[in-house]
Amino acid sequence: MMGQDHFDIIVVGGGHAGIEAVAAADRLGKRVALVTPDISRIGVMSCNPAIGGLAKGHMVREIDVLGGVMGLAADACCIQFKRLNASKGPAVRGTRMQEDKDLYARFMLNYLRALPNVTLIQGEVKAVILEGTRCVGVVLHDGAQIRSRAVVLTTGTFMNAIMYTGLKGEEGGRAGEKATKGLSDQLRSLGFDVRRLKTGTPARLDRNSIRWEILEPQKGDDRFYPFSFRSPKQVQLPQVLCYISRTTPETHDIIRKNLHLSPMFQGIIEGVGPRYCPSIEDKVTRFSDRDSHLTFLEPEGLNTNSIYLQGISTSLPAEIQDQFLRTIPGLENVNVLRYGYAVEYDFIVPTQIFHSLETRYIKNLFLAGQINGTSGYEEAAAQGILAGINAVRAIENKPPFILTRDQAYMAVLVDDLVTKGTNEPYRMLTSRAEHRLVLREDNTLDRLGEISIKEGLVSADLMELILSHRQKRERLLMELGTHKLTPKQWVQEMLVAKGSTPLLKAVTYEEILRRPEISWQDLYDLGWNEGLYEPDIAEAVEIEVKYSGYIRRQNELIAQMKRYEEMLLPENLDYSLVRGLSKEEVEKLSTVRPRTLAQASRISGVNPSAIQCLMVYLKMLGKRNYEGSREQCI
Amino acid sequence: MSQITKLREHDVICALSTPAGVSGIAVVRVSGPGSWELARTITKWGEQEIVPRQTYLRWFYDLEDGEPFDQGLIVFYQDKSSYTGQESVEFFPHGSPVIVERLLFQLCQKGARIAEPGEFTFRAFLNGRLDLVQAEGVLHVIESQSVEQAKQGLRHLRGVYSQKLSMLEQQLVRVLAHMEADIDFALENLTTASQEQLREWMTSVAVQLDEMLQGAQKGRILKEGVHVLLMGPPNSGNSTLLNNILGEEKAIVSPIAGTTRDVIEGSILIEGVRFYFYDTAGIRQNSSDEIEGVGIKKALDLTRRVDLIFLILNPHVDIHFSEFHFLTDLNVPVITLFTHRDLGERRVSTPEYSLSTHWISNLKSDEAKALVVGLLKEQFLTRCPRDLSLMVHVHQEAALQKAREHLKVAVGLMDQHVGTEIISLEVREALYCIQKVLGKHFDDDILDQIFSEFCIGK
Ligand SMILES: Cc1cc2nc3c(=O)[nH]c(=O)nc-3n(C[C@H](O)[C@H](O)[C@H](O)COP(=O)(O)OP(=O)(O)OC[C@H]3O[C@@H](n4cnc5c(N)ncnc54)[C@H](O)[C@@H]3O)c2cc1C
Ligand SMILES: Nc1nc2c(ncn2[C@@H]2O[C@H](COP(=O)(O)OP(=O)(O)OP(=O)(O)O)[C@@H](O)[C@H]2O)c(=O)[nH]1
Ligand SMILES: [Mg+2]
Repeated sequence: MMGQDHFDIIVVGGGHAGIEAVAAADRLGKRVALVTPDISRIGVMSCNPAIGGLAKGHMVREIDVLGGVMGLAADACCIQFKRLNASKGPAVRGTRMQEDKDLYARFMLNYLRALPNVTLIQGEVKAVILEGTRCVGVVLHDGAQIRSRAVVLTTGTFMNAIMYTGLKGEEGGRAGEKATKGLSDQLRSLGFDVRRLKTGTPARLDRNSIRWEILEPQKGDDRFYPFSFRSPKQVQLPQVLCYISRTTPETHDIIRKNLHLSPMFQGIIEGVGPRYCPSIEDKVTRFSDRDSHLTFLEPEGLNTNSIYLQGISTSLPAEIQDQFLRTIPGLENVNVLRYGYAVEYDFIVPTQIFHSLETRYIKNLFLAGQINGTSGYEEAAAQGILAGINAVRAIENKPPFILTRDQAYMAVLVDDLVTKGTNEPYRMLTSRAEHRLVLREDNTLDRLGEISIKEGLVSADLMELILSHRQKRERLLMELGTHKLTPKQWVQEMLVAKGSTPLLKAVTYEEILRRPEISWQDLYDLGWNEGLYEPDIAEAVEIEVKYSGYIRRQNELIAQMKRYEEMLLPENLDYSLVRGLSKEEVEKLSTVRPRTLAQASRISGVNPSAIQCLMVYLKMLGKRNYEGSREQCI
Repeated sequence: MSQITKLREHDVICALSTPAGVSGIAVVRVSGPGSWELARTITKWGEQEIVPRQTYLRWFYDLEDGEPFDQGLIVFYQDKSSYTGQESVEFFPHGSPVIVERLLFQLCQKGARIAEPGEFTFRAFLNGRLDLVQAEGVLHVIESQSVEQAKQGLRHLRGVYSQKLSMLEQQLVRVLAHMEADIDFALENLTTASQEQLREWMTSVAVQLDEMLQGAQKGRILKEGVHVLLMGPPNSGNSTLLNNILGEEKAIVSPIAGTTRDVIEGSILIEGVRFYFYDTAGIRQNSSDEIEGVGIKKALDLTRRVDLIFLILNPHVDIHFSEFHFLTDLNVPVITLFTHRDLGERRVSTPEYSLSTHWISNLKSDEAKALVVGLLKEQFLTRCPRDLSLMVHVHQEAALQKAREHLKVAVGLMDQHVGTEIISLEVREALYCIQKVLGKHFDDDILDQIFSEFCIGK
């Protein structure tokens, strides 16, 4: 296929970022090629067998409303469902699903194969082809060139990757898969700041060698809520149990005695690992006062014997892993299918990309996923979908598609990356979002539905669903506000039994629900029988009633910020010419090159007075095109 | 939260716009929607209709105790006619730092905040009140004031005050780390602090904030006034001076030594601060009179509870300095006044514990009163922080008070079993307030703390 095939967009890498990028571009009608070394490994989950979790689950829903694939696949292959934080406030609940890994990857492959505009190409990309400062294609391992108008790189943990099980590292990006070479060296030679990060994974165990009978089982939730608004409302696969065990003082002893064999502790791996995924070596040294750490045994699928050992990621030599694993109750005779390992890889410092995920130095070249210093399937997929959309916009000469921090977790993710960069693999957390109360799972459709339709990412039929949800919420709110609960004897007793206080007079159900100790479910016990509502409708209304004051406060704050979000800073602004900025501020602003005044204010070390100076400078430049550019920030 | 919220143009901002320090009349400017209402509150305005640009003479009230602390002119401006192009008010209080500070403090209590450097001019610019050439000038202002403020910030940061604040900051970061870890790492089965523990931590920070707020010297003077003791040997003129200061015949004056027995007390306002004066029985060791003895004892007791002692001595009689020697070990400033100068000069040595010594011809004269008031002002009113630090001070106090309010709300919510995600909002706000005073910006402190305190991972 020497130079013949011409695609609109080439996506490099068939991981979670790559899949969403390809699918998004396809939805927008572009001819896309996905190039990846092994087509049968598309959509492989490198690490834990789960999708979602706090903040991550939120992103899966956001991806879904933008027409993405991740939610559909996760729903279809779910083998255990859990709503995290079910006992906490409704605003911080998150969905997590355990997946059958093989089925998940197969779902992805089949999905991509069915897309009309997609070509799957097996091959390793060695370099991108440039025309001036524009990217126009890629070169494969065999020297073949494929041309396109834009390229999205989603190479994950593979570039110049070295895997470690013990002190001796060997090249490889993931167990059984080779590292990829050439691409990151080319990017470095083009002037990109390329650095190293590392991550690790625990051992996989043979199901048949574990003494299940002595372990404590853990069940999923009975009620299932799919990620996707397009999925059936029931699980599609049999559900499985997980089991809990703990490390023992003997485990810790063995690990401590062998720290000199851990590449991390010997300084052989220089890349920084994530603090929220420390290896067991890390845990044992940093929290030396604890003589036990929890571990979860999670099946990796229905038809596999592979058990994932959550919590015990390690890069110690195989024989040491054998030794210490067998000190964990239930694993006395364990048979390891694959030893834990650490992987160190190249990533591109993300302050070098725009919010559109396009690189600053090379036009029409986009980066998404772990290559930008993130970690996690959901983080990767979120970037992938945005990169796919923006690659399409770039070749259509349209302004980029950029969401704001009050609209989506994905936007928080991207804004953090391009504004602050990262020193460790970046994972999404709800505490990273200053507007956490308005970024919820239950209101994802409301937040992004209309935008998605307008963008052409989902069919306009979705509007009906959005409107019907809205109507149902309004109706329920109205009913709660009109129906009253009277202080009858049984009502008073029930209230007291629920840890609440008796009524002084008749009050509406809305007022009752406003009480912190009363949940939506409690209303049924208190005689509420105004019809059944879908759980997400009820939940949204409950939140609205309970937290209206706080939500209003957050909305006010968002409105205040909006003005500054809409004040664009020229891309080529010479900060050294702006009067009143300190040297440090000029430096920081010149590196990050914030897109808006609001983003500038989020850079640490840039003071409020600097923002004033920038505003004055902008006005002096006679930049009156804020209105014109507003469309860019939807 | 971003720093940019500080630039909100709809906040009411206030600041001293005349050079800080002592001056006859100061100008305090207030700008932003709601300024008029704020001014009405502080002046207890009533129903009278406000005519813009007209000058009114009004009392300025401390809304906590309802007492006026100064009287001055006030002018209201509408959007179109003000400097900033926004609804504005100008106060013209007396030019002492204490009064100005008090006025700014009251304004901040009622919802205003201290303006950032150049913010008035900046608003004027945004609202089209200045042209581009003048805008250059704005930059100058911001530039120079930022430098000044940065210096100020450093000075403040070095103080003990900020050490203490950093400690509180750390404690709040820890509270948040536990709350956030509990939310974000639901899967990890972390042992985060119990509700009781969190409640205790928050309460402890609130209590410490209370102490800091009360402990501020300035705060104490404003609340409790300054206490001044007049003492000397019998017949030296204490009572004469007291009556002169108070402008009324409160104490009996007579040529008989030992007229005053019990403590006689009276007070006056100087620049908005209340000064209390205590006239006491003349001190003599060999008093045979039992009642006089009790009076002397009372006088001696008072020496330990006042802020300043005037030692009044008549150089024309023999002074037994030994009787006042105990003043050496006292931690209270002493000022010596030699009286009866009208009766002729007489050289006497001055005691070394005396801060300063002054000669007075006639204790009944206006000059005598002016001298005493001048000395008191110098000692208590003009020594307050100068220039921008004055504003920083008010700024800080208001911010700390806000921090405490948010913590109170947080504890209240916890008692009502409201979710952590809501409580953490209040704690965060409290933290922002403290970090604002410290000149720090909120970054990833909480995450850092989570990862250092909890064992999280797969
Ligand atoms: C050992 C290990 C441990 C991990 N631990 C965690 C964890 O604890 N928590 C967590 O959230 N996440 C973890 N992950 C990360 C998670 O797997 C990734 O974040 C996620 O898969 C990233 O998605 P991606 O699309 O960016 O890249 P990947 O899923 O890595 O996909 C990259 C794809 O690009 C292909 N590719 C690479 N280079 C080229 C090239 N030059 N040409 C063509 N194709 C190329 C690869 O073959 C692969 O198909 C771990 C990953 C590994 C390997
Ligand atoms: N000539 C002159 N006489 C003064 C002056 N001050 C006070 N006197 C007189 O001194 C006498 C004593 O004054 P008081 O004010 O009663 O003195 P005191 O210190 O209160 O005396 P005791 O209460 O008796 O201890 C009175 O007759 C005053 O009129 C002064 O400055 N000059
Ligand atoms: Mg007397």
